[in-house]
Amino acid sequence: MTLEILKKGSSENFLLKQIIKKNFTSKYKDSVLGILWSFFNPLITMVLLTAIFSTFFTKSIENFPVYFMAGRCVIDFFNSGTKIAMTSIKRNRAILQKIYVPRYIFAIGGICSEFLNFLMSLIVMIAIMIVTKAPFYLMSLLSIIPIATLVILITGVGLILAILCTKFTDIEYLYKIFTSLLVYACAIFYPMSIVPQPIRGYMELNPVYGIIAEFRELVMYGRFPSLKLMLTTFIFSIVLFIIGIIIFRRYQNKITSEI
Amino acid sequence: MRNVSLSFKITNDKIDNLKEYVIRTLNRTKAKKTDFKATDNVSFVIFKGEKVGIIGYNGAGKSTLLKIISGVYSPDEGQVIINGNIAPLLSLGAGFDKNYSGRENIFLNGAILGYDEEFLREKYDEILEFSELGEFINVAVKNYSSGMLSKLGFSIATIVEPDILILDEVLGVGDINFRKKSKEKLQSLMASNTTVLLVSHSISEIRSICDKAIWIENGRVREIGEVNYICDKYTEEAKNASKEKTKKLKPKRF
Repeated sequence: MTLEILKKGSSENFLLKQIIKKNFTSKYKDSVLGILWSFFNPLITMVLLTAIFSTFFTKSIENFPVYFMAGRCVIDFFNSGTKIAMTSIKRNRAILQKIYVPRYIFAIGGICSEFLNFLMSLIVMIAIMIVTKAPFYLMSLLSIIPIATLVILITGVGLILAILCTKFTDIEYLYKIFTSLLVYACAIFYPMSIVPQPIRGYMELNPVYGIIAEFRELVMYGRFPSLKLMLTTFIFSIVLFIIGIIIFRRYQNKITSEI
Repeated sequence: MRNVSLSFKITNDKIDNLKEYVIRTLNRTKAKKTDFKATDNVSFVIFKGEKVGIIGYNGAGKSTLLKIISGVYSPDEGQVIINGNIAPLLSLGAGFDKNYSGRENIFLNGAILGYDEEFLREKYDEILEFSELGEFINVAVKNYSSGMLSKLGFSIATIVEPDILILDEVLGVGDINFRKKSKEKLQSLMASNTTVLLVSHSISEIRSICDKAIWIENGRVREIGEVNYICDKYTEEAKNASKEKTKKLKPKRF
């Protein structure tokens, strides 16, 4: 019996690996530079935005390129991870309607491959830190905490969206608008201090911004972020994660007959 | 140890049809759902080693039944109890990535079918040999002919030695030679110990392969019994039905 479960687990792991590989290759198919795009893409936007904004915010942001990259890595991972999970069931309906595979596997596989993309963009960030002679702190290693919180948040939101998306096609378009607004709301290329007070208070409640703020504190200044911030983002993420799992478990059996 | 018996019972399996779904999306739940029972209170027991044919008219719920058994659909009510591993040959090459080579697709498709890595590595040569693809295995499958695709799909799907084999129409794929080979392969899979569930419109096929038949009508079990007995009744009724239909058509001719 246990052997059966182990066997099943190993074949699921294998499937997960195959899905991640497939996501990766299909992303870069037919492109000459291939995986290098993962490095170029953030680099180019960084250069452009630095050219435009860095003189604006010289007082409040000391190292604009790193400030921007730290925010951009997080928001990119959030947007692409939730998006890939959202469409995972719809995109793979041909498979899901014919063969039994665990329903969550495509969502999780998608998030995993986006996580690898995220790690690659972190390499770009580190490279920029070296080039701009930014200091490195031992404390920065603790950024594993906001990153883990981010993965939990993405999984929760992704699972909820995956189910919603099978029910209402419009969710996909709505979410697209939402993510582009989110980029502006997360203080990616401006300091939060320029936002006037009543609005700023609400904007700081946003867990994605919370994660970005934590991440910047740890990476750029080597300071431990405020415990209150850490706790609120973590609790928010865990709650969404649990809701996601409950919703997904509840509806996963229905979706094959509905998509 | 396993596959002693398998029994299942499904009650009121409701499936919204696509049209309803679209309307509901547009009106945002304003439209009332009407339930369509693809399978309704179906229950039967199949024992190990039995070869069972499922017959019925189009839309009777035969394929839905197979999908419920293979786990693609889960029943709203009732339950399916299965002992043993299932190989559903419902679709060949599901999830093939067109940019992947044949070789990579063996692993991808194999993973989707639930095989593990070790098993696939072991059986890789066997799959390749059976598929007759030779050097083409390293070419992206988007350049394959449909025959080659189905040959590859068939070779991957039939590499297992399942306890329970589920077939929606006996698959004859590829050219004359491969068709013969695939028939032989299926026959070897259907060897004494394997439980077979076959949906087919070819009564002669059902008669030759199966020893038990289930007649499904409008999502319900009409009759279960010995294969020849059920098939005789089925063909009889089909004949009568078509006679009646032609009768109705006749007055139109002058």
